[in-house]
Amino acid sequence: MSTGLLVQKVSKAFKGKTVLHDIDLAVHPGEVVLLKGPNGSGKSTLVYLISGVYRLEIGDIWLDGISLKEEPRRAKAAVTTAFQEILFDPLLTPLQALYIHTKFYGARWSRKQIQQILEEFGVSEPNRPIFQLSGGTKKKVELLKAQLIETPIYIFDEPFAGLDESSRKQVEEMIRARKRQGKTILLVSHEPGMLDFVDRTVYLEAGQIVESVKEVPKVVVEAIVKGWKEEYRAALEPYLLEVQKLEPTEEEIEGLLKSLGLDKLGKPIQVIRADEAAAQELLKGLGGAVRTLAPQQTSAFRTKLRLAGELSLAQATRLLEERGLEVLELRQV
Amino acid sequence: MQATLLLWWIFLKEAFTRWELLLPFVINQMLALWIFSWGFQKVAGLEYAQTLAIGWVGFAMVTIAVISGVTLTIDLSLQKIRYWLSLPVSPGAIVLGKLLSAGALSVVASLFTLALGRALLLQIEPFEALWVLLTLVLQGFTLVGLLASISVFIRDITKIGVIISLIVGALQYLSVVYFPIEIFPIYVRGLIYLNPLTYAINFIRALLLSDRLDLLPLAVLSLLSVGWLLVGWAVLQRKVIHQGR
Repeated sequence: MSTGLLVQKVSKAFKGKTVLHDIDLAVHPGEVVLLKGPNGSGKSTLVYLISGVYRLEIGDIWLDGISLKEEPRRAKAAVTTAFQEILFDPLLTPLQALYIHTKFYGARWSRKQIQQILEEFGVSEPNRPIFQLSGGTKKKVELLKAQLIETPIYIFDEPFAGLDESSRKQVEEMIRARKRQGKTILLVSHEPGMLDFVDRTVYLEAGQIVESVKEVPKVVVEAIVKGWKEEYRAALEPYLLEVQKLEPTEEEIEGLLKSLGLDKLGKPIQVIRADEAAAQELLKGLGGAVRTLAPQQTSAFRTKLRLAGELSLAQATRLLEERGLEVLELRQV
Repeated sequence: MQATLLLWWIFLKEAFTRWELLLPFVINQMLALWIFSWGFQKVAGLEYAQTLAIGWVGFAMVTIAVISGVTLTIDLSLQKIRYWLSLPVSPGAIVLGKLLSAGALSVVASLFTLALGRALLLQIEPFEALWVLLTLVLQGFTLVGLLASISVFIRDITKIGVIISLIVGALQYLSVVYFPIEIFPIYVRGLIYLNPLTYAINFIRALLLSDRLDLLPLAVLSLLSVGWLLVGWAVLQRKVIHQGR
C-alpha cells in the first residue's frame, strides 16, 4: 500500500537566496495535485528536490514512506519524473534513451515494444538522435518515462507545454490512467483552465505555498428529479454541487391543487401566476380560504441537481433513485 | 545496487565508444612509436630507443587521461548530471563510475601502446607483462584522480584547450619520458618526482631493460594512486553535491 508523497518543512536556498521557504505538501495515493504559480515561484526547484536532483538540506521528503534524506537511492526509485526539459543525453536516440532508462527501474520492455509505444505517441523517428528532434517530440520522449515505468509516485513538470492538441489528450489520458491505478500524482503547470482529473490545486508564490484549493471536477451530471427534500442534501454531499428549484409548469400546479382536493369544490381550476402578496389579495377577493403554498416547500415540483464526481450516468440514476427521487432527465455536462 | 552497476556499465561503454578521442590517439601512437623506434635506433642505438619506447608507453596514457578527466568534468557540469542524479543511484557512485571508466580507458590506451612497443622493439615476457599491466593500472588511476582534482577548478569550459596543453606539457617534459632521471640537475629532479609518470616509467624500465624488480617506485605509485583517486573522488563528489544543487 503506497503512502504517497509528503514534503515536510522543506526550504532551499541558492547562494544565500531563498527559493523555497518552509514548504509542506502532501499528495495521497489516487490523488492528483496541481502545483501552480508564476514563473520563478519555485515550482521546478521543488520538482528537482523531490526527484533528488537538488540536494535536500532543510526538511525532509517522504516518497512512498521512504525518507529522501535517509535513503535517497530507495526513495528515488519510488518516483518517476517527467521534467520540464528533456534530461536524456542528446546524442542518444529516443529508443536508446528510454530502453536504458526503463532498465534503471527494473522494467522489462523490449526495444520493439518501446519503439511501438514511441510511434503510437507520435514519435515517428525513434532512431534519430534526440538533439535533432523538435521541442514537442523531445517533450513526448520525456513524458513517455511515465508511461513505461511503474512507480508509486509520478511528477509531471509542465507536461502540456509545446504539445499539439492530440498529444495533449494522450498525456491527459496517461495521467487519468495513472490516477485510476491509485498512483500519487503531482502536476506542475501554470496554464490557465481546469483539468478534470485534478483533485486539489496548490498555489506557490515567491517560494511559499499561499493557498490550497479543492478542485471541483469538470465532469458534471445534471439531473431533473421530482421529490427533492432538503434532508437529501447531506446524503448526496460528496457529489452534490448545486440544487435549483425549477419554475413549476401549469400542469404541475394544477396537479398540486388537485392533490389538495380543490377540484372537488365544483369549480374549474385556473392557474394564474402571481407573486405571493398578489395571490393572497386575489384569494381574499374571491372570498376563499387563504392558504399559500410556496413551491420551495413542496417536493412535488421538479428540481435540477448538479452532481460532480467520477460517476457514470447509471451510477447517478441509482444514487438518486435509492433516495426515493423520481429521475425525469439525466445528462452529463 | 543494480542501478549503480548499470550506470557504471553505461559509463564504461561511453568511454570506449568515443571515436573522436580514440581514433586520433591510435593513429598518433602508431606513427610515434614507429618513427621513434626506427629513428632513435639509427641515431642513438637500440638501448636508447627502448628507453624512450618505455617512456612513451607511460606517457601515452596522459593524453587520454587528460581528455577523459576534462570530459568527465564537463559531463558533471552539464545537463547530463541532472539526469544521472534523478536516477536511483548516489552522487558518490556517479563520480566513482566516471573515474573508473576514465581509468579503464587510460589503461587500455596504454596497453595498446605497450603492444605496439612490443611489436616494434620491446621484448616482454608474460611474467613481466603482468607487472607492467599492474603498473599501468596504478598509473591510470593516479592520473585520473589527479586530473579530476585539477579539473574541478576549470570554471570556463572555453579555456579547456589552454589547460590541457599546460597539463600535458608539464607531465611530458618534467618527467622521465625522454631521459632517465640521472641526467637531470638536482633541482629539476624534485619536480620530476612530483610527476606520477616517473614511478611507473622507472619501474618498467628497471624490469624490462635491467631485469630488476624494483618495488619502491611501485609502492610509491600504489600510494599515489589510492591517494589521488580518493582526492579526485572526494573533490568531484563535493562538486556534484554542492555546485548548483
